[in-house]
Amino acid sequence: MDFLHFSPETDFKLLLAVPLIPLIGYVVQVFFGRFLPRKGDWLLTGGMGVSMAIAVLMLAKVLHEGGGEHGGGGFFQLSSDAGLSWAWLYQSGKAAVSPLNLEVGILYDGLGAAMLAVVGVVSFFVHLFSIGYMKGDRRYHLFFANISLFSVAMIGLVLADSLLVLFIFWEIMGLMSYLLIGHFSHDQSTPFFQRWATWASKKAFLTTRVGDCCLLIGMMMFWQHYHTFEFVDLWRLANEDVARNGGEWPMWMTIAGLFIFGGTVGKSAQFPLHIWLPDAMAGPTPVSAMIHAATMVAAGVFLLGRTFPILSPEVLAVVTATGAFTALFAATIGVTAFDLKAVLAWSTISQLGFMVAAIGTGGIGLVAGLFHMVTHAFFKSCLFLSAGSVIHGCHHEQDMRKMGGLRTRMPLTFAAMGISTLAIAGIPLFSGFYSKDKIIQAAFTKTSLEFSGAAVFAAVALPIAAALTAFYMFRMMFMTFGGTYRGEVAEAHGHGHGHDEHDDHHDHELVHSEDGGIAPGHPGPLPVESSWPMTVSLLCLAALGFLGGKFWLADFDVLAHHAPWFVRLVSPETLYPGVELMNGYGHAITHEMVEHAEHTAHTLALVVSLLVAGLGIFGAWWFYGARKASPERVAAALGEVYRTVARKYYVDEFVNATVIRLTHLLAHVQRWFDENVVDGIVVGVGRANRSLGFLQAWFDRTVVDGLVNGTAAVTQLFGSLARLFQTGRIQQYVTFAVGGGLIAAAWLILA
Amino acid sequence: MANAYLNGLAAIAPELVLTGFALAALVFDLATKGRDSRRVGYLTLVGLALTSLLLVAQWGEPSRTVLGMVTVDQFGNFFKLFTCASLAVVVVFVLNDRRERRHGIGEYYFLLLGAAVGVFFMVSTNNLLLLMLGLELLSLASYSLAGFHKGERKSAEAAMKYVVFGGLSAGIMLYGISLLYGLTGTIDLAVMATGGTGGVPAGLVGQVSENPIPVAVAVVLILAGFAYKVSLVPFHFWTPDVYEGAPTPVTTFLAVGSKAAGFGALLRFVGVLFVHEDVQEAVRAYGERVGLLIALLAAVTMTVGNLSALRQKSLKRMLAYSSIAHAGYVMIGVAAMTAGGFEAAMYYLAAYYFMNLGAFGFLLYFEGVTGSDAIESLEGLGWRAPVVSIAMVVFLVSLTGLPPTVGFYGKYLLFQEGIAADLIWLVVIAGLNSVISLFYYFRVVRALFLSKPAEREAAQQPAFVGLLAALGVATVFFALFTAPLVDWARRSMDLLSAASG
Repeated sequence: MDFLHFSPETDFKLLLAVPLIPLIGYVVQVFFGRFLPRKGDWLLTGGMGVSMAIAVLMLAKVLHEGGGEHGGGGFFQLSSDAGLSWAWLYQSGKAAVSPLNLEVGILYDGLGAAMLAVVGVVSFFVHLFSIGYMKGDRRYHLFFANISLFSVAMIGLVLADSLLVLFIFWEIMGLMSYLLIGHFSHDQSTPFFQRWATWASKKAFLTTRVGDCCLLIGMMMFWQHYHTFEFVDLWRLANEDVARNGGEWPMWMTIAGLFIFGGTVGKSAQFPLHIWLPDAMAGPTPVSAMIHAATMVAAGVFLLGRTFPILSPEVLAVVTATGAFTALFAATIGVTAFDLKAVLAWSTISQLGFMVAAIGTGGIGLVAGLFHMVTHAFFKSCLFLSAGSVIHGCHHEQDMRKMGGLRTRMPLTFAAMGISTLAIAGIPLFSGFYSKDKIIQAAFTKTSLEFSGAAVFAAVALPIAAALTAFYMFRMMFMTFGGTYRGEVAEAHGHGHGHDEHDDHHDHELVHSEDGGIAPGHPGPLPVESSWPMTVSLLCLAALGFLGGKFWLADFDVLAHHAPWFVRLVSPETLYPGVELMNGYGHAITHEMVEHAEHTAHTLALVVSLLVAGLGIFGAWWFYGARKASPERVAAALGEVYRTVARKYYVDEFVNATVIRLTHLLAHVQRWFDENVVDGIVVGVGRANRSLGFLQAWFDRTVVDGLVNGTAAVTQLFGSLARLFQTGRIQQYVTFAVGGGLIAAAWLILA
Repeated sequence: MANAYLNGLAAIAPELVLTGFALAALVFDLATKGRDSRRVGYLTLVGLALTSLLLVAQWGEPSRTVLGMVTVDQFGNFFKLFTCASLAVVVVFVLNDRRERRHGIGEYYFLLLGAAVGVFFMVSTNNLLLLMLGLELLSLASYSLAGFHKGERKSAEAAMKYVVFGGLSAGIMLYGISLLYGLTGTIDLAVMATGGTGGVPAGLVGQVSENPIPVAVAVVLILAGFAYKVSLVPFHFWTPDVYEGAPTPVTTFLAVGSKAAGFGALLRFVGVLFVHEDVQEAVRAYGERVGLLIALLAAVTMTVGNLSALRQKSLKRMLAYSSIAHAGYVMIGVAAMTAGGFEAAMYYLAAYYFMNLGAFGFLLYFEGVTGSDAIESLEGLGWRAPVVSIAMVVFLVSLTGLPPTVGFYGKYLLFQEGIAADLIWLVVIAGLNSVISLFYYFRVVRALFLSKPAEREAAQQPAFVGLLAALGVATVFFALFTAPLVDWARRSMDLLSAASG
């Protein structure tokens, strides 16, 4: 593997090319996309392909150099160390004193390498898939441009070496998600989608904005104390501070840490800011695949990975509890959803809960959570794209009750989705098993070492959530691919028609619709398999969903006695080199105790995760495969409980009743204030102006008659005044200049 | 002795070459009987390139005074290169001015080069007399250039006003210099600042406390001369009229080259007299009071400039007022009276170079297309000439001071230095002014793009369009990669540390 030895300079140049290629593609596409052959889809897909190749090549290099057999050989590169940073807002000679001397550089380590490759691969296949899926869209070229910049944002975020740069890309991503979720808001042929997309994009933008504000506040709190945004410096300074403090975390750090976690809550859709994610499926399905897998939601988890050393133990407890709660909470909702994409959306929220909870437990949990982010990216993108393929095949039908029997009609999609479902359910050999097993192990370890509320909660909630995951995923498989086709079949019914008659039916408010606002499909011929760009993408991603855990078949070890590739690459020691982490266990717990606990938890976790996965699958088969019991009857028996879950615990309604109502109330108050107070002032000013105007007119007529040619509106009074002096007469100019000079001299003498 | 003389001549080689080319341009034009003035233009470009090369060769050389009065240092080098670069662009403008005659305008280039020679001496001397001579050479050339279209009423009127106002200012400044000479017994700024030796009166240091009124009068009178050159309120009255009346390339030169030269001389005057590290404490303290006066002038200047620009209907006049406002921004850095402030001012001038040359270039282009300089006749041009129009949007964004452009970063540096020098009130006023400027700059953008396309055909001038596009790219590029310009400005601060004499 000698060809993988580059100088650091070459490394960073290659890394820089990864975001730069799609960025250039974006610029070209925005301006000239319309005129290119095939509207430029090949350009961006090809560009992304090159970026992917570089990212994978770099990962291969890192695996080769840094992936030691027993956890992390420690690959860590900073472009500023190699003197290759870009001096942004540069102030010469002040580097030491000016905190405003901001440098932008690249931080590339095991985590970055893995994530960069994942983003590259998923983005590329989403691009490829979109060629088939978005065919005939009105804004085809813009869709490709936007989705490319979306990838650029995530790539930039992964490579960022400071919180500030991360935040910039974070915001670009927020904007792009808004544009992409709202892609159909210009499509006037389907009023339902148009309205839904407009509303959903707004909802996503505003909800994540709450988290963004939190992150900004947290970032600034750290900056106020340490005058740096650089991750490396922040890690070191914060932990040194705590060490000097005798292991006590100062209050402000906990508060700032909570604010930073707020950013994750928004972006990674944790309770209670999860509400935007299920509605984000209003965007085209490839966009959902991007949002749910490699970008957007992964950004929040990635942020946790980058800021872990500056989060105090209190913050980590909150992180664990929030994640575990979200995992369980979303999983229960996933069981009741009928919209194919909604099931996947809730499953994403639940899986994100797993990752967040795991990172909160620290140690191997940190690695496990980040690992789950990687494996999840593969199988979730595959699941979403498969769902897109199914929906495409079923003429934009998304209701699983109107599907069925697609096993034979769409065999390739079935295979891809099946593999990914096995992965997400945590079946051994499939990637999800390795990461989810590790997460449960981390929760058990934490519980056995310190019997805290958050840890116990996670240890209980996560296995239940895992069982529910297996249940609702197989429920989805049985409903979609099992049985016979339940959709309406109408021969010779072209695309793009048949929406209008649905209009009044769907004219209700979206939040309150009983079935969660399932988008309307239309009858068409029997579903058939999708075109090659779609199926190729599906199968490649499915392969990664299978292999992603072990990554190479050489060490084919079912029970994972060998550490998976990711665990070799990333460990708490190599993630933050040279930093003595202060947010782990106290002194009372020795390294040996941790190892022992991990070992015990490992066996237990293995049993538990196999058990829950089997249980879930069996349940799904019982209800939906074999139909030994009627799920409807169970739902009816549960009554109000079922309705609460199906209505997503009324969180949306709660937000409507509180935040939105309050905003409306404020708006009313403001309007009242406007109408009564401000208008009063305006009217008063108007009257005063009128009097002034009279005065001025009088002044005009009597004093400077003719000189002042009717000074204009009050708003531009000053402009007119200045112009008054510009008479065009040189004699006056000279007079004014000399007068001004005299005043200046007088001031200098007297002051 | 002779060796020292030759070394001195070598040190002013750029000036000599420039003078040689100025004369060559005149002779060449006479010899060809003005048949093809374009060739004179090309000759001028060659001369500028050669001069620039010689200037670059002086890169990094230590500061020294040759021939008794010419100071060759990196600070002067900055402004000389600046002048060459801006003049080169102006020459390209002249070559592409569709309303200019093609023949018999050889003296155009001669006058431009003559003005440049004036600038060269004016920014590289501590000797107030030589400074005055250089300034006058620049002014005389500028008067002739402003009235270059003798037949046009506006042009002739502009030249007349310029001569009268300029003459007055020169007189005032000379009076200030003579006062200062009388008080200190020297016309060398460095000697004034650090105190004399032997029989010479003790420089400015004693006079500041003994004769405060004459010192104040002298300083204000000299500042008035600079204020006229860089158009600070209330010495700005000539600016809109002259800018409007002069041919557009000349206006460009006045707004960019001549103004920067004025700032160069002003920075040297203020820097050597008040801020230099060898300056005595009493003089430095006095300098801070002068700084406050400059801050007041800056505040008034930017406010008047921006408010007056608000209601202009002519793009040319609007840009004239905008250039007044920008002089006010640069003065923040001067008023700070610190090395950092001067650096920021010089960065801003470099930024000003890109965005204002670009904006005036656009003006010239669009005058060539529409034959008018009214903003309303711009309507819909954005769809006809997209490249220049997009470049213009970049220039306007930069002039407003929004990222990601040099204008933003320049203002950022200026504001930072202003705050560091306890001039927060001035920075607040400058910030408010930037907001005001948004209104009139974006009126142009609105006219360009938000109106329906006009039927006029855009001009085919690939070289000219390419130049504007390059300026637009540079406007963004140097905001993303700020290091080269910032470093260059910093390198020029040998003004404040080099040993005097």
